Amino acid sequence: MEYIDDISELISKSARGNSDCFQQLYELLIDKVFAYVRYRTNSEDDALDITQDVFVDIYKALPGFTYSSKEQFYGFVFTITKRKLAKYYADKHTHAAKTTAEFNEDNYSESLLNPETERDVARALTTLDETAREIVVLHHWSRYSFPEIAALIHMTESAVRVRHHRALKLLSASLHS
Amino acid sequence: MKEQTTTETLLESHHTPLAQDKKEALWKHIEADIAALPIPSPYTFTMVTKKSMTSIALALVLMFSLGGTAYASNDARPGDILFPVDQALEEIRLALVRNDDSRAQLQIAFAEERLSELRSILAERNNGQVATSTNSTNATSTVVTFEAEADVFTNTTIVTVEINDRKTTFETSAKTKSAVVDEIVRRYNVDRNRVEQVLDFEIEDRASRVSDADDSDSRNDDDDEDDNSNDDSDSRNDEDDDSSSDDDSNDDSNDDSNNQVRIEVKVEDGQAEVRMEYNNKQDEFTVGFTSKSALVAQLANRSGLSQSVIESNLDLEIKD
Repeated sequence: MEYIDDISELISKSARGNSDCFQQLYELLIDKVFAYVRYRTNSEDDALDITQDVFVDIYKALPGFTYSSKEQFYGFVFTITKRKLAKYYADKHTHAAKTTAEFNEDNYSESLLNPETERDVARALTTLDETAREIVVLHHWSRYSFPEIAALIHMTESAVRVRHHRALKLLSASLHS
Repeated sequence: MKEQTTTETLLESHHTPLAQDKKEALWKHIEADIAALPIPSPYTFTMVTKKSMTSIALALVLMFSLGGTAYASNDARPGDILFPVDQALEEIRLALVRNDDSRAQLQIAFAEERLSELRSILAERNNGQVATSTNSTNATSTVVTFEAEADVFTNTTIVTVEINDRKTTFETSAKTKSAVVDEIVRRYNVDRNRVEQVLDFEIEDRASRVSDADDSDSRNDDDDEDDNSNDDSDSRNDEDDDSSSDDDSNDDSNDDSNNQVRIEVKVEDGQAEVRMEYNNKQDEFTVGFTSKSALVAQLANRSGLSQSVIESNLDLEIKD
């Protein structure tokens, strides 16, 4: 399989039905998408199902997409991801119960950390407001850069940086208290 | 600072990335899903965006569902069933134009189309009046321009009549000028005097006929002499050999056998070479030539024909 470095070329070829190119896009995006989906869902199985749907939707939507920047493309993917998650909650009627409930130790049993630290981290995360938590998740789990996060959640980059800094301070305080 | 770094490490290890085998398994599922999708057209990517979709769809609907009607309606004229469709299409085309210049051009084009439609209706109406005017006495008033031409051949006569710039041709068995005039008056109901004035009556019973515009012919006219001035046609004179002129005289004997006069004169160095045919007689001789009138008097003496008959049938050729 020929490896293509240019995202815009990968996108245009995938849009014309080249599945090899789409696989490269998948490799590029899977960690970012899965990390965010996993954070928003209760189980890995659900996260896998949703991630699968997200990629099929991306593939279907590519012919109508015009590439202008990497951030814009991530924004496009993020929008599709959020839409899929919203549908998932609507189907499961779990929308209202979301956010705090999911951070229980059972969800992260497969984590590398010991269960106690695991609980601590989860608890610390719940102390953050939703935007701050989202920034933390997108930056540390999905590995988006600050400019990319700014584009995804429609904030300025400096605002994202400030929010992130405060969130980390809060987290360390609650973890090391 | 150190605390923050530990926090970050803790945070990041809190999330377990997807294992490679799970990623591959997931890709297999996705691959299967997208393989089941219809292959996107290579053209849709560059050409069809959501914005252009509406107009493309509209154009397609117009083209396919109304295509035939629209095409047919373009030929519709005021009063036709499809004429409103034609007009509506013009409105749509005008509405679709954004540029003022091209809109003006379109409007001009439509105005011209309307005019030509009106012209064709008028032409058809006049035509219809001419055709139906056979029994109508008022019809003569509509005749503005009138031309008529009759060519008499051995077996038939072809008459071409042009009324108000419309040409019609018919075939008749009439052989004489008055019969042809009668026929024209009967068919087109035009004024008889006018027909007589205008009619260009020619006898074309010889394929190799030479035109002799300076001569007039009265033998085939049943009308009186004053017709000659209008009627410059002639078929009696030719420079053919004897056999063909015999032919000719046979033809003529069918029409009016009493009036067969043919006089050919060639003048060279003051000598006139005369060949006369009259009353089924042939006479060839040479005389001295001074003037046309003297020659006519001389020929009248010799043949016993009147000077006017000789003059009107004289084919005089003077060589320098």
